[in-house]
Amino acid sequence: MPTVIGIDLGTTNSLVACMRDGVPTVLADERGVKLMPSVISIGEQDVMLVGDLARHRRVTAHDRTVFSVKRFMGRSFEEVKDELHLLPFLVQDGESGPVKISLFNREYTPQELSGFILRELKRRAEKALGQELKQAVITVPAYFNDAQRQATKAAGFIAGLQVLRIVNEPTAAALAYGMTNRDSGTVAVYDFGGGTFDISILSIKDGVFHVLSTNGDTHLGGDDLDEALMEALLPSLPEEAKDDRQIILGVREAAERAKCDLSSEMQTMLSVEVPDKPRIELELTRPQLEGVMAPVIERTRVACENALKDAGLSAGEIDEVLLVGGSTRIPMVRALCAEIFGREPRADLNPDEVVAQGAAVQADILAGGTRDLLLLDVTPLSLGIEGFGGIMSVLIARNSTIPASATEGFTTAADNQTAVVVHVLQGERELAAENRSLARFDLPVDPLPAGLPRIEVEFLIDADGILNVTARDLRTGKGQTIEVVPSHGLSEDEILGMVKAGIEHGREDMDRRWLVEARTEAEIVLNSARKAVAQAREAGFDEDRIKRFEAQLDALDEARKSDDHAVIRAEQQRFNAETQELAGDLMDAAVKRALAGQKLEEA
Amino acid sequence: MVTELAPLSPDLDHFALFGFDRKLVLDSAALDAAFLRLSRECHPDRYAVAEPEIRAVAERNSARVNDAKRVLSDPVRRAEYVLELAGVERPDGEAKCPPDLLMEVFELREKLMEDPGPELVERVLSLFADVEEKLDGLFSRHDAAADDPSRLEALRGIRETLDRRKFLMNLTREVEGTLGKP
Repeated sequence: MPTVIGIDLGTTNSLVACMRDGVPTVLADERGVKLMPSVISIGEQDVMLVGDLARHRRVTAHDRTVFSVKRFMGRSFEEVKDELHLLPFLVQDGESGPVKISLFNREYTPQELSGFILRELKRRAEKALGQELKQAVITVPAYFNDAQRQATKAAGFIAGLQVLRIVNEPTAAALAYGMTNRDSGTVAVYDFGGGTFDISILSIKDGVFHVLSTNGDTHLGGDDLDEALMEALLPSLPEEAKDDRQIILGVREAAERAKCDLSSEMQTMLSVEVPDKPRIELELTRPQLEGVMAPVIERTRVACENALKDAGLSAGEIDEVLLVGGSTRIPMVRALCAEIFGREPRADLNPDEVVAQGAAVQADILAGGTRDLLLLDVTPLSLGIEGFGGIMSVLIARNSTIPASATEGFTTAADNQTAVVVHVLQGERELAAENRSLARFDLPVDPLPAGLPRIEVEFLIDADGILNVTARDLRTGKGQTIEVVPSHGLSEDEILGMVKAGIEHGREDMDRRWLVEARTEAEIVLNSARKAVAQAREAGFDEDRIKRFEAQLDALDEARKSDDHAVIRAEQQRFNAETQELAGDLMDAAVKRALAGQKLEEA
Repeated sequence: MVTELAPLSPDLDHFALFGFDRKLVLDSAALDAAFLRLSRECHPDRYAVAEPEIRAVAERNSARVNDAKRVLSDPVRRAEYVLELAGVERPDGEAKCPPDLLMEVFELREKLMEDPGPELVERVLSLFADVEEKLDGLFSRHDAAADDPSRLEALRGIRETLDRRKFLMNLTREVEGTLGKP
């Protein structure tokens, strides 16, 4: 039985997990780190850096680095254009295709960029497990529409993975939870992540995980909280800083840090650090932050209420509330969640890892390992077609258990018409124009007098939540499958082309990759070491000692130029040992200073 | 690995699929149990690593089970489905508001314009409850019918009552729309 991996492809961070001895296990990198930042950066010699290394380059190599790619998956330019001013990279209209994201010297589709993240996770898992991996389960927000799901699946193919299933994130979380808590009951999963919000209500009984309803917002997450804080902070920046892309990026980093700090602290110093530019410091308190976040967080309430209504339940009938996603660490989010459901949410799950764990469980179910669990999920949005007068006629209602299907008959209105246009929609509005246009396709018909052709079309939403269309001519009995390329999606041919490019990319020179990775890492270490030197001087450390340290620093800088990654790595390890002492002393000095400051305040 | 999977027979109606008789009063616990049993057999998760053709059959079989469950779970959809199976059609082809209800609706609408109050909601709700009660009675009558003619008679009554229910439903929405949801 080949191992199938489970992947949580997140807006901010991604993880890969698999079943090991019956336990869903998140796989760590060589340094033992499980979370991989969903950041991509083009390094020297056009090597694609993904994860931590790329994350560190967000400010220093801002023109070569992209992040939050998930927000663009399956989206039209029209849908994302309002938030682009806060992003340092260029996103362009792809017309009928996906949006294009400019990265250094090339344009990429979100599918390709997500493909890089998936390829890196695959590599990580192969290293950890010591075997080649080909099949995966990838999670998506439950409220993702057809186009977003197809885009995710395409990203998997581009990364060289056969995607056995697209699983909804809250459902995966419930699966991981239910593995260890075998009680039956009704569970609400409140999943507030980096970019998206989902609420799902499930009934768990005898190993069957039955989703009753789901609701959410695929554009509501920690990113929106950071951006709300950024917008609030921008007026207090010095005038010359307001149009500086690098400083805006520094503000984003600082806002994100401050938001996290204020989950445990009541106040914090928000400091914007950009190389070669004066440091900007602002004080921020938790009440101030909460004032900014409240309207964003409040948006989760109506989704929860709608989900309860669709499940036919009151808040009191929920037995357990599970928190998933990094944004649920925010006290204000927990408080709102407790208020909505009238009970304290469970706090014993790891909100970052539980989705990946669930994906691993589902992967094992599909591989044939776990046999006693069954997952029954739903489609989050109603599926329909445009009918007379531009009204959407619903074929499959939201929250229908998937796979689900519906058939509809079509005929012609004019003599010798050779095609009937079918416009497929997804959404809850009455007017076709107000829903997401999923696809528009021509149904081929034999030329006959009007009204004579009889074509039966079957719309099937599969277990991935993706639409499949087949048409049958009732007169001839001839059937055919229709390829539904979603608006702003990729065709099968385009995906195949990218898969091919990906295979070539996979064969790249590993020595070259290791070299560029080693150099990048050394660079990151050098940057923070230079900062430490400045701090040490400020703190009045012995100048001789600083000079000796600087000599070490220069040695690493010199080694960095080597063409042998082993040389760079060895030098860096030596340097790390040396710097630890200085870093420790710096920390002590800072603590002493802080304590002294406190004493002064008390006095 | 599974190498063969047959499509569910197209000859089975939704009731037969779950091994039920064609009854309008249905034990929901029994339906749930039958649904889970079939789902465990049919769900595409069981065939995820099989050949594409088999996966396609599993998707379709599973969709069929889910679609059937959706119809049978809802008493009104279930009844509409039985009417369709039995080929019971409306006398003049189209749903029309029964005359007595039309009068009632007319009066209610007028009152709604003049003096919308909570007692109106009460009135509509009580009309609605009457229809539901009548439906329940007809459902039982259908299920207990000894022969085809009496079954058909029950079905005709159901046809009319379902239409009546639909008109009342629209009225309820209107009242709610004017007064705000209670």
